[in-house]
Amino acid sequence: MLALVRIALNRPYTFVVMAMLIVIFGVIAWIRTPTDIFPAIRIPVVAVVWTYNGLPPDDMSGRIVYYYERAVSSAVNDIEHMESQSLSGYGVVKIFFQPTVDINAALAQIGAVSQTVLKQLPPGITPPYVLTFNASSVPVIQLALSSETISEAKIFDAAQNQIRPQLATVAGAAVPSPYGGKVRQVQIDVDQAKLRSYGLSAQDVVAAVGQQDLIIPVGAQKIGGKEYVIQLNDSPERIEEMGYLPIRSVDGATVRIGDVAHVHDSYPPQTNIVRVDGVNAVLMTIVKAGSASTLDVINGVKGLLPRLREILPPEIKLVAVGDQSGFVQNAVSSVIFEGALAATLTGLMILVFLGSWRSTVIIIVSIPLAIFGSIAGLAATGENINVMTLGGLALAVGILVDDATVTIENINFQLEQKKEIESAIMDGARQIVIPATVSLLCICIVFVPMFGLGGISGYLFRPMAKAVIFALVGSYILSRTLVPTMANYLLGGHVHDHDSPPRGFFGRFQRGFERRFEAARQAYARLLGAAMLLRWKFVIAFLGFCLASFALFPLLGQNFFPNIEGVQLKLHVRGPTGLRIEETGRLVKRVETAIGEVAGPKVVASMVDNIGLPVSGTSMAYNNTGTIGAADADILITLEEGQEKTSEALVERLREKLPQSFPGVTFAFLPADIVTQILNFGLPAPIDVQVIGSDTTANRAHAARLLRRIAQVTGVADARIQQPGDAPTIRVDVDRLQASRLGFSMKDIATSMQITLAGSIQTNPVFWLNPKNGVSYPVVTQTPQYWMESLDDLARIPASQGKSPQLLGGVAQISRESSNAVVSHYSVQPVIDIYASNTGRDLGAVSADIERVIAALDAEKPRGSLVVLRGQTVTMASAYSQLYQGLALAVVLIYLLIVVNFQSWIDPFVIITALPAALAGVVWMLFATHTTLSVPALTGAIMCMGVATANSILVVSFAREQLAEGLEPFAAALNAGIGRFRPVLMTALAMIIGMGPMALSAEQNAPLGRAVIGGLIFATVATLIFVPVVFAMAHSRKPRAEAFQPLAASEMSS
Amino acid sequence: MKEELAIKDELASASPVAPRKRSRFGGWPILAALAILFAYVAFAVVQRRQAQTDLSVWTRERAIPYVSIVQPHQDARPQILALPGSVAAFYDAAIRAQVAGYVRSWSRDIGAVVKKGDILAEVDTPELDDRLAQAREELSRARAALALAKVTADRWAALRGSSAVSKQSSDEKASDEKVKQAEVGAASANLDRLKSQKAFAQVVAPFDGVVTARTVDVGSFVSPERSNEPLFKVADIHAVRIYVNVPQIYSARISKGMKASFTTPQWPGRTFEAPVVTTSSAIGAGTGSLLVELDTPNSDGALLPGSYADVHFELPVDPSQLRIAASALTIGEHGTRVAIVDAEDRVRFKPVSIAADFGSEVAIAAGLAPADRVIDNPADTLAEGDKVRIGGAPAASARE
Repeated sequence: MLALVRIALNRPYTFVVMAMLIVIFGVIAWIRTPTDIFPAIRIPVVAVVWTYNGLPPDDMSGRIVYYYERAVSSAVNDIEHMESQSLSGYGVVKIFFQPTVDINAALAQIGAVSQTVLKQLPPGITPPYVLTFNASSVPVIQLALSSETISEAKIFDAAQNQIRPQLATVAGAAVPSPYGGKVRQVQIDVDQAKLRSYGLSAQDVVAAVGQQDLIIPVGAQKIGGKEYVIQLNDSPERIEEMGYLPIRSVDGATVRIGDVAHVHDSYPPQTNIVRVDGVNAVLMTIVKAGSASTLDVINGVKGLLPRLREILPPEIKLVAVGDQSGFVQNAVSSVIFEGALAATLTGLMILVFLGSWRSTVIIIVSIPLAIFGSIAGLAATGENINVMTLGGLALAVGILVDDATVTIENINFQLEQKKEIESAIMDGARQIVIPATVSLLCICIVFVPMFGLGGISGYLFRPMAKAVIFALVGSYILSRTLVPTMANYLLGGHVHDHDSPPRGFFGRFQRGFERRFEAARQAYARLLGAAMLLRWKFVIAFLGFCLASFALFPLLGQNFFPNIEGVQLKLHVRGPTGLRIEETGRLVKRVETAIGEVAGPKVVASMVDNIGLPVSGTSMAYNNTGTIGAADADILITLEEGQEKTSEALVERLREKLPQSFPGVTFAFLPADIVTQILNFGLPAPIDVQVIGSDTTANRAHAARLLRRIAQVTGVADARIQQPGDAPTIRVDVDRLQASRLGFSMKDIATSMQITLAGSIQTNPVFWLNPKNGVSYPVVTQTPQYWMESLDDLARIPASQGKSPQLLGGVAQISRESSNAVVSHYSVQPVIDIYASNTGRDLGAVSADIERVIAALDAEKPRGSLVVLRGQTVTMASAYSQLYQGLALAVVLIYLLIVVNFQSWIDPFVIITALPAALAGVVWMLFATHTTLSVPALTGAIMCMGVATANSILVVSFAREQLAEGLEPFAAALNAGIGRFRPVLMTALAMIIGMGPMALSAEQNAPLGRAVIGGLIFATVATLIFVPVVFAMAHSRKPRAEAFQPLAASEMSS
Repeated sequence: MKEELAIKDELASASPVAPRKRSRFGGWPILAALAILFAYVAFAVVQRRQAQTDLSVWTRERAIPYVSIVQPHQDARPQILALPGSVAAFYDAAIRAQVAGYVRSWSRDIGAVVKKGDILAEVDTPELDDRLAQAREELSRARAALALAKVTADRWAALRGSSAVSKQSSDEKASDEKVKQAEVGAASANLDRLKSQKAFAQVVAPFDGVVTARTVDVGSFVSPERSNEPLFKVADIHAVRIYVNVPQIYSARISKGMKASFTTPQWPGRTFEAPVVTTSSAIGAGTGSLLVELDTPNSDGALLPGSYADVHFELPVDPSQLRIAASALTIGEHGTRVAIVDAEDRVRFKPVSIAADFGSEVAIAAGLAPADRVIDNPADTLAEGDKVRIGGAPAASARE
């Protein structure tokens, strides 16, 4: 270490160049590194999406998803757990992996097993889509396309076939199929009445299409010297020609498709409506995928917008909505601002304390250098720039100045001893090398447990810890290299700077400050003296006070992350199960009106509805709002700028008003901000109580019992069951014997019904190539839903072909029943989820109450079933326990480190006794500011531990030196306290001032700042008063321990 | 470092008495600070308790679900059974050739409105004509023979009076006359038969109606033997009969005189009334259904025989039965139930049996009282005895 200092003095350019390199690399890293809200959360998730048109959820679950899940669980390695949703026509299986997984191998296995199971699945099924994404794959921007003149089908077509391929070129943008609009396809609308009048069934129509619209290449012929391509009109060139295809001849009259059906360029029955401020639109959601930065993705998409507008017909309006870049930028820039403010304030403080602008310049120069060094380090280790790393840097600013300050202080002290500048620097460096190293190690050690964090919190806090450690190491190195170099230049000529009479305003101010500071030190000395006289009473009172403070701890409450207010609200509306999409659309419109009324004028800026299930299963995989069918809708409410503060009150009023105005409709507020969406990891709510087991009926009853109790838990809002079991269902029981007597089979009936109700595409895929645009469109035979509007229409579906036409109703009993609207599995077991959010109360307390409810109802739970609390709660609990363990471990490690340093068991213990005070300070601060405990707050507490220990070490080591010089313990402790009053206060003040802007902000890391400030105020008091007293007491009681003193002390100063 | 020494001195000179004195003085501010702190904590705790209580009240309030209410109502609108049927003419005659011959002319084409007896076509019957001539000659011959026989007989009868001939001979002559008489009759009858056969050479309409088919043309040979194909079809469509194959499953609900109506594709928007006239009273083996006949007048001739008809039988319902929206039913392990709100605003489930299902509405056979406040779209989490509140506007339901 000292060699470095010598180099700094002898070869000064070395470190000037080093500083320049740090700046260069830091700036390059800053520009190159992607900026994002959070560090990359590399928890890989693979979603497998099965599609089978018209298959009800129960069948989707039983016939496809179950089978597939079992196959996956036996064929794919490193699965952490699997979740699946079986909806009507879609099955989405999400596979979560262990962090250690080789995702490429897993993907290969998944691909292989998807092919293997295909033979066992229903006929005509196509292999699934396999998508990879991770926890931070959340929507970052949405493009809304609308038009007053062009049909929704055409808009969708343009979005799907023209815009989507363009967007795919933006690095890191995943673009699922558009929401809303209608998918273009050739629709053969079969008229049941006409079918009956010709004695035909829908099957005949499908068969006719299948036989007349072909894709059969017929080959070529060589005639003379040429080879001719033979072109057969086996596929109609125009859609209308489809109508002329013959079905069969009856009594010499030919029945053509056009006679019983309407063939047109159309779209399947709409399942998804998107409205942007009341206008039907097509919504393209851009999801951030991979490790790309949110800002890059958004900027890339925004950069493409002018080009996209050129591609689109001019009638289509293209607007970007739900842009998260503002949020990300605000978050990042506010952290940067806080950091800069902290650095400035700290610099001012140092200027005031040192009274020398030269010293201050040296210190202030070292702050950005350390930060640039840290950024370069972060970039080199693959981290991006985000709120967590920037928060870490802001946190570090306070400590950064410490190293430099101590160095400069010491050099100044040496200069005051009338030493030459070079020897002053060398002596100053020598004196502090051990304490500085120990305090660096202390602070680094407290961050070590962060690296052991698992799950999402690990991904979030490891980069933060890295940022702090890199910055600290950087500053430590700088204080041995650049600081001496600069001191050599700047302080050399001004040996007596300190003593020269100050001039001007600043000089007067400085003199005044010094005077007051001196007074304060005198007061402190008296206080310390008094405390020493009353040592037992004082120690007991102080410890008692600290311990008593912990009584406030349960009142704090626990959240995973602090809530932040935004201008976006997301409301999930679920109509009565089975509500048709048209009705849901109407319902949502009324809900919007109600929201407008509740909010009042000039509050809501825009509302975007997304009603029903997206047309593509891939969009389902990205969906994190819990939509399961046409009765579901998401309303994204954007408030006017500056209405963030009112959002909470608005939500509360809406929670009161909406259920009253719309009975039978379930409302839930979902996280709209990117942070909570990431933390929820795909769940629509922070609390998820799962009832797992195969007895679904009993589980459902138990879930209803749980829900009733959970809804009454104080602070619970939006409690709901995700899987409704009352989907209105019509049961058709065919009498097979009767049917067979009349000459037809179940297959005839099923096929006819399928073609009529679900369309022919699943079992008889036929395509028509549009020669105009080269796109192949599916040809679907189906009866329009608006022609099948009563039970009679169902009963009159022609069930058989041929001589004696029979109607479905003639051989079947039609009755009502209810079925599952969605079937969910958790690790291959059926599960029913109860989702709930917390409002006005911390997640920890609400979760604890819910745990109690679960326990209370444990006796009633069905045999073999399992009730588990999952969601953010679990992530939070594990993060907390890991942090608590980490904290305990950190204390032990610090203790051991100081034992090594002091070669004593007692002095480290003296130092450790200051820690309860730090914790008490954290508790008091959080209590006073109504801040709940959260992971950032705990991080702050950990940080306090490090700084408090470092300060205490300073005091104790000084006291030990005094003791070694032969002073009696009380005098030594008193001297130590007075002697270290200034540096300790400076360090603490630097931290406190540095954290001030963060603590006052409304951002994610505010609790961190508050915890640090509270903890440090108390810790400083403890360091300056409590520790000397305890030290003195410990040494006056145990004279034997002094045998070690001279040895340790001599090592200290070497 | 001077002040350090000063304090050290102070510390050193401090007697054991001093601390107590100091503490007496220094204790007050500390105690006061502690008291203020304690007061603050107490205040904050009380405030938080209060907030908690408020929140608890709020949550419990929110936990009581809102429901919307539908009232059962009575309705006499019948249940409709819709089945495909076919229109048939009231009378439908297939007119075939009864004489062999070549069609000389036809005068009425399809679509022609004919009166009874109108000539539709004429058939040239050369063979018949020959036979007719032959028969005429035969008759003449017989008549001639009869005349001779009569004269002979008369003569012999006179001679007998003079006993110039034997009685035997006279009787023979008289008998011969009778034979000849009979032969005349036979020949005459034969002629008449052929004449009337000749009349069939003119094909006439059997009743007032419409020619619905014509298969002959001039010159084509027709004969009674080769008469698989009718020459003409004439239908009487002043009224039409509608035949409906009612599947066995519904057959018990059809009775004579039941009201029904039908529509045809060619007359969109027009409904024809047609009561059930009769049924075949047997389930057809091949069709598995009961043939039901309905009649309706067709004065304007709008209904064409052979048309497809969408027949709606009006199945009578009990008008006193209560009906509710189908969305109010809950169907599950406990069967079909409705949830009602009792006088204390608590949920009660009532098992009901459905009498008839109208799609968006059901008629309840038993289990429901007219005054019951039935919950529309009951959530499947509602349980017996749950407290509910009745919400404002009714929720949108699937009713059209």
